[in-house]
Amino acid sequence: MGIGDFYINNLKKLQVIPIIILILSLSLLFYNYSSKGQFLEKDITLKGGSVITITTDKSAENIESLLDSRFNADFSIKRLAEFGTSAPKGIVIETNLENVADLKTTLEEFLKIKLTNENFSVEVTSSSLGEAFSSQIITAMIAAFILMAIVIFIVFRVLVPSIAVIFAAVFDILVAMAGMNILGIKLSTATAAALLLLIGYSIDTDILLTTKLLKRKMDNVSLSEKIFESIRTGSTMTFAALAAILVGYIVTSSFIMKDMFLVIIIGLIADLFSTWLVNVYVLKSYIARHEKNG
Amino acid sequence: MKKMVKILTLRVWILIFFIVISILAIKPVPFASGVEIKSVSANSLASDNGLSQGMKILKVNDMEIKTMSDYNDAISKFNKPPIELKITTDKKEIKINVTNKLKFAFDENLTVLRSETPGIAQGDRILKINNYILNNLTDYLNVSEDIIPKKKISIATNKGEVVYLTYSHPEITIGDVKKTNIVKGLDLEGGTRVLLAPKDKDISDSTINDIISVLRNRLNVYGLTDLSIKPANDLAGNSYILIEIAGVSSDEVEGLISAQGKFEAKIENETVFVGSKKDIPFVCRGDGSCSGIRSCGQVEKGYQCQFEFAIKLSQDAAKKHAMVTDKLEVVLNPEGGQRLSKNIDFYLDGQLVDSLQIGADLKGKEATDIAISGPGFGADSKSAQDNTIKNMDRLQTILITGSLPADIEIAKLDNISPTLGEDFIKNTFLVMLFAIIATTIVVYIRYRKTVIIIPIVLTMLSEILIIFGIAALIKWNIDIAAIVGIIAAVGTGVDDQIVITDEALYSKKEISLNWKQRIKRAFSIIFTAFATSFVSMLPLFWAAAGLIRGFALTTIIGISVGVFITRPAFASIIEYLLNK
Repeated sequence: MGIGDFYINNLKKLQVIPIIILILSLSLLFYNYSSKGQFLEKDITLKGGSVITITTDKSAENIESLLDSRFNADFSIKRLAEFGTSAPKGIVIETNLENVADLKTTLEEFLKIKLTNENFSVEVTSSSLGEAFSSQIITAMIAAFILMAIVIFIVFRVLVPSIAVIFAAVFDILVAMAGMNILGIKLSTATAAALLLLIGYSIDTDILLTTKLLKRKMDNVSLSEKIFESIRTGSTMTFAALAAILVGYIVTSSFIMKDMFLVIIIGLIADLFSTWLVNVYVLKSYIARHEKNG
Repeated sequence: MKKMVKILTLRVWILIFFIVISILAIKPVPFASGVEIKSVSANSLASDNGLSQGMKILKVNDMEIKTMSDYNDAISKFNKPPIELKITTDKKEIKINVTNKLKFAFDENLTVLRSETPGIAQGDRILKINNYILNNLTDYLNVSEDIIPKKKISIATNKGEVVYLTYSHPEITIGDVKKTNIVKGLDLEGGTRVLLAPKDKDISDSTINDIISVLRNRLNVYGLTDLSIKPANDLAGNSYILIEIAGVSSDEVEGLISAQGKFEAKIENETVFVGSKKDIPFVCRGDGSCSGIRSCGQVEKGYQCQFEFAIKLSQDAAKKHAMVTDKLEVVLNPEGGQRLSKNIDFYLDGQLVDSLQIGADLKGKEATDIAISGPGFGADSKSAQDNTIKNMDRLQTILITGSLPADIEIAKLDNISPTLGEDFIKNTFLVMLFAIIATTIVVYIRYRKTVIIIPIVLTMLSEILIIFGIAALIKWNIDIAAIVGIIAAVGTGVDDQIVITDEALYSKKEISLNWKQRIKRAFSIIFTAFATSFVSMLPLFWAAAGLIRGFALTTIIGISVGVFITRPAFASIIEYLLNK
């Protein structure tokens, strides 16, 4: 058990990895905040605008430059492809325009197809609603966090280990947000829901670890063995979830699902660090100090 | 035999019970095919002749209907080419094209009362249509069927055949026969979702409910019955109204929903009557003899048509009409005849819909029969007609159902095409299938024992089944976010099963604890994880006007099913299998 011994003996030094990840994530988020006034860029659902989906087998190259030249608005274009064959299946256009009548006509001329209810979908959010949603999403996240923290305190009833679990959630969410920044995923009602899910979901392994280490009287089993046992179980959990969600990310043709899956993937990967490096270290030191004291 | 008894513990029976209930709730009919009627316009020929929601359409005019496109084909065959009519008046002879109705109105003596058809003017007298010589209205009525024939439509349904004569398509919306009781969300089904916000933020709940009942009435009168309309609130205390209508495009209903619907008829800024039951007890709708397109013609940049429909004024409103018109002068019409010096103007929510001349004979008269008119435009004559009909339908609906008690605006308008939804559904099956396979592979790599893998996979599948079963039972919409919720819940479920399995396997080393204590430990982890996931989803019930409630609820249902139904059964089964 070479790696195992190295891991247990060098836990303190290994803390440098999560610390670096945390510092990089925080710097990125604060850089964004100072330069753009927000930690995460918001999408149409939170700032207002329209998302248009056109079902067509035309690849419609140059559509960006056309739209930019015709309209005084922001556009971002994504393309839908058939899973497996990569054949073009549609175009998704996001814009801050709230009235898309002119845009529709322009697109009809450019694509040379008639846009009907069969091939044209549009979702419009007014900017005032977007603002209301956006502030509520933040409230919801804070509320979820507080509720989660209360549950953790009630269950474990000890300060340091509870804080360690809550810290793991903070770490996972911050890294997930930084990851969203790097991968260009915007904050939307859907990705915010994914972040909320992470608050509860990513700490499953931390709960497992804390329960196994603190709540269990297993005199015949050493602490290291308990840790390894937890890692075996916990990593199977994380990898089973990661596998399902990664495959879902690859297979799905919905950009909403893709974004949600990606946020959860980053959060789960971050959780590997927060649980098996930080939380293990905190609990190990906590238990050592307690044993010494009494 | 003894083993069978032991594996079927109460907890396993509970699981089996829920699986059976779920299958009954979902009620799958995988081989169902065909199309059925989703809604029928109220007071339409279709409803008068007995077509109703839920009927399965088998044949239209002897063409077999298996798919939506079969129906659309059959209906398009029903479209008639415009008929060319030769009309001779006392002034001239002209040729016009009509599809279903003459676009001018005339009186008993065939003198034209109102027309914007080029070539036919008010006061002209109709002498001949095609080769029918006409002397009076009775003559016309005798031959009207020959001039513009009605067409027979026969619709065979699973509840009998309906045959009637009509000028137009049946006033129904149709959709594929449903294969299960699972209600698909709008992003999977296709349709329109509108979130309405009142302009006045301090609106009372009762006003919101009044708005909802007027809107529901409007949509029903318009012919949409397959819809959901409900109040929604958010964390900040804002009130919204959320409307979801499956299978309808937003441009059809946008004007209907967002208009407050204040209708006013004014003569020289004096209101004569308004759109309310008190002033207008009757509005003609869906009856070609008193409502329809009356004229069409080319205008600058396209085509314009004019609709006209009759309304009845109440005695009070008629008196007001007499009083106001009495003050007007009679002037000579440049085209002949006499009219009053001022027009009557129709306003809808402050915007002028139309302005009409008033015949001189109406001066000071308590007229109860009034015609309302308005235009519709289009790039070609067909779209001008369609738009005119749409405008007319909307105005009639608004007049029938009255105005909203408060002004509202559209905060969010989503219109999803059914094609896109269909693609997502197919894709979603793939996503779920691959996610299950991927999880199974990871679990297999870890345990390498079929005896452990099979219960894990079966539990996963039964969990998905029960989530869908509960959704079908409580008529909860499954949308894209809900699918992510299900996948996340199943993911947590697998996590919990791994905890239980490991506890069971590892505890063999630990003789000091018995099975019950081991499982208790596993469940203390599982319940804590459940509680944190549960509370972190709760705020989503109120945020963003409940639009992501679907995701939150599905996730919560999913993890609850896991913790309370499938997990205990799984523990039972694993206990049996590992202690064998």
